[in-house]
Amino acid sequence: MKKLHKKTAVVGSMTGVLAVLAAGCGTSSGQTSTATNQTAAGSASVKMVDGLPLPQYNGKATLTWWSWVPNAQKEVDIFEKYYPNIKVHLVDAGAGATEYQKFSTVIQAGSGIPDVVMLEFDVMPEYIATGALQDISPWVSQLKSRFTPWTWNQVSVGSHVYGIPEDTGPMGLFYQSSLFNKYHLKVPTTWSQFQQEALEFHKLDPSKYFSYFSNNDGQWMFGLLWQAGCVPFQGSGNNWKVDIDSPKAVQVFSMWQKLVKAGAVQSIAAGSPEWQKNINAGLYATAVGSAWYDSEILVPYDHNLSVHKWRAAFIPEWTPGDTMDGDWGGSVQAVTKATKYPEAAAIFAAFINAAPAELAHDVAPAKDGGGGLFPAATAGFDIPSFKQPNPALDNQPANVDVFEKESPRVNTKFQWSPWSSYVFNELQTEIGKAFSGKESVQQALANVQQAVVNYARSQGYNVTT
Amino acid sequence: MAPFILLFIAFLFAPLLYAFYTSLFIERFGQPIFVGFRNYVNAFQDGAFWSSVVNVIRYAILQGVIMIVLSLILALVLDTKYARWKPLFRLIYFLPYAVPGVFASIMWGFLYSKPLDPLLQALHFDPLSSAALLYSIINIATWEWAGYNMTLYSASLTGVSTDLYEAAIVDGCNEFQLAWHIKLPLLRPTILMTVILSFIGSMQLFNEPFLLSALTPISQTFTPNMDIYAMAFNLTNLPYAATLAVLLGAITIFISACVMIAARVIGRRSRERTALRMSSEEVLST
Repeated sequence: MKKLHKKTAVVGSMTGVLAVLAAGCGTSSGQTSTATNQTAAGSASVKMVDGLPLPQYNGKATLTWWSWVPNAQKEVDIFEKYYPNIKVHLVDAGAGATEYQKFSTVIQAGSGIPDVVMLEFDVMPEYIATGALQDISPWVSQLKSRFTPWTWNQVSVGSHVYGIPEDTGPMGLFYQSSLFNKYHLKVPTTWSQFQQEALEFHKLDPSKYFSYFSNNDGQWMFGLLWQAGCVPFQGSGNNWKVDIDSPKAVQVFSMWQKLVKAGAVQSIAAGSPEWQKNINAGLYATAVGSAWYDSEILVPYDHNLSVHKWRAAFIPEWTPGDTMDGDWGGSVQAVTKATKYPEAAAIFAAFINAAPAELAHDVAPAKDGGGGLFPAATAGFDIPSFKQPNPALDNQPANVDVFEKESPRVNTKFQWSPWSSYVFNELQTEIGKAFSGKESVQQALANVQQAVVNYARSQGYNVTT
Repeated sequence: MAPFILLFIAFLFAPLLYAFYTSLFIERFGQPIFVGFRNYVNAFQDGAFWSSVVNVIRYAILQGVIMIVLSLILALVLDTKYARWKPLFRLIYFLPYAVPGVFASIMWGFLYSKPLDPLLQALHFDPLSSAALLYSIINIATWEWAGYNMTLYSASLTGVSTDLYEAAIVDGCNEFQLAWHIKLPLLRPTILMTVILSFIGSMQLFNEPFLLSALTPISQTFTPNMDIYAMAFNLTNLPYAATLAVLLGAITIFISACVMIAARVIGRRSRERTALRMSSEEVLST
C-alpha cells in the first residue's frame, strides 16, 4: 500500500499501545461476498475463475500470508469461496519496514517464511536480488495485460514474474480549497507557478506554510524525481546504471531548498507529532501526495476536513503542457521461494488483486470495511465505488477527476534498485545537510551518487554511471 | 567450571566466530560467495562507519565524564552525615534506571518536542535539531544511568569501615577533605569499572537515537550499531553487518584495554607516590 505505514509503525509505538491494538482489531471477518460461480472454460490447466484465466488447482494447500492491507481477512474469505481447497492463514507481521525486518529475519533463519508476502515496489529488486522470491510466470504471465503497465515492469525481470501488483500511488497535488478561495489562489499546474505562489502565499499568511517537505522520507523524495522524469536506476541482475545526480534531480531539490530557505515550505519529519499537529491545524496549504493520501493521511490526521476542504489536483509539471507523473507508494503480493505450494500461492496472489469479486472489496473505502486501495488491476477502475464522490475531499470524485487520469502518465522508465533502503538513507542525510546550508544540493546529490556506486560495487554489482 | 565453559562457547565464542566467518562472504541471489577480507577492505574505506565510530567516541567521553562526576557528587553528598532520608533519595535517584531505555527514549522524545512544549518555544530551543541532538541524547543517558552508578559508589562506600573515617575526623578532616582524600581514593576501582562499563555501553548506543529517529531525521549511520542494524535488517546485508560488528567489537576491546592499562599505570604511580610520602613522613617523625 503505502509509505507512511513505515513511520506509523514507529510512531505507533510512540503514541502508545492503542495503535497496535487498533491494528490487531482490524481483521474481523464478515460475509459480504456475492459469489457468482466459476465458469469453467479454456485449456486443460487454465479455467476462468470469476472472469480471470487461472490454473485449476486440484491438490490441497495451506498458505501463510503476511499483509497489512486494511480488512485483508475479507480478501481471504472471498478467495476461499472460489478455491475451497486452498486455505489461507493471514498474519499481521506489521507494516512496511517492520514487516521487511521480520521477513529478512525468517529468510535468514530458513524457517517461518510465509508463502505470500506483501512488499512495496521499492524493495522488490532487493528481495529478487537476495533470491527470496519465486518466479511465478508459468501460472500468471497471461494476466500481464490486466495491470497498469508500469506495475508489471516493477514485479518482473525479463519474462520472470516475482509477484502480483496490488495497488499504486500515482502522485497528485492536494490543496485546501478553503485557503485557495480565501487568498484567490489558482491551483498551480507547473512547478514554477507552485514556487511563485508559495512565496506569495508566505507573504499573505506568514503563520502558514504553502506546503511541506518530508525530510525523512526517501521514498517520497524519489517520487518527486520520478515525476520529474528522472531515471536514477536502470538495469537488472548484476548490471546497473546509477544516475542520481542528474541536472533534473538538482533542479527538483533546488526548488524545494529555495522554498524551505524562504520559509514558504516547512522541512519536517512526516509522521512526527509536530507534523500530525500541523496537518490537523491546517498549517499546510498544499501537500504533494498520491492516490491513497486522503484515506491514509488526511482522514486519520486531519480532524477538520470540513473546514479545510482538501481537494486533489494534477501534479504540477516541470515543462508546461507536459503530462508526466510519478508514483509514491504501492505494493505487491509476492510469492516466496520457500513456499511448498508455489502454484497455489501464485493463484492466490493473482486472484486477490485481479478478480472482480476481490477488486470490488479492494477499492471500497477502508472505513466501510474495504481495502481502500487504488488498484493496480485496471478492471478496478470500472467499479462503481471507485468512482464515487470522496467525502474526505469535499465530495470531489478524485479517482475519476485526477488519479485515474494520472495513472497512465506514470513514467514507465523509472526503476527501483536493489539497494533502496541504503539509497533512501543516503539521500535523506545529504538532503538534510543541503537544506541546512552545509553543502549545495549539487554536492549533496553527488555524494549520494558516489556512496551508492561504492556500496553497490562492494556488493559485487557491475555499476556504470 | 565446565558449565561456564559450555555456556561461554555456546553464547559468546561461537557467535563471535560465526560473525567472523559470515564476514568473509558476500551474498548474491541467495548464494554466499567467498570474498576473503574484501568486506574489511571496504569497511576501512567506509567513511560513514568511521564517522559513526568517531561520533560514539565523542559521545562516550562527554557522557561518561558528565555522568560519572554527577554520580560521584550524588554518592558522596548522600554519604555525609548531614544527609537526611538517605534511603528515600537513593531510591529516587535510582528510579530512572528502572524505566526501560525504550520507554525513557519515547518519554524524552515527547519532552523534546518543541511544538508540544511552551517552555522550549519560549526559549527558541529545539533539542531535536541536528546541532543539539547529540547533547539531547547525552542528557537522556545521563538521566538514565547516573543513579545506577551512584548506587554502585554508595554500595562501595558502605563497605568501608567507619573506623577509618573516625580516625580521619580525629586528625581534623572536614567532610570535604574526608571525601577528597579518603573516599575518592577508596572508590578508584569502582570508578574504573564504571568508566569501562559506561564506555562499552556508549559504543553500543542504539535505543535512544533509533527511537528519536521517528521524530527527527537521524541518519542510519549516526552510531555504529544503528549502521549495523540497518545493514542487517533494512538491507539484508548480513555479511557486511557482521564485518562492521567484528570491527566495532575489536575497537571496543582495544580502547577498553587501553583504559585499563592507563588506569593501572596511573594507580601504580600514585601508590608509589603515597608510599614515598608516607616513608618520608616516617623518617621525619622519628
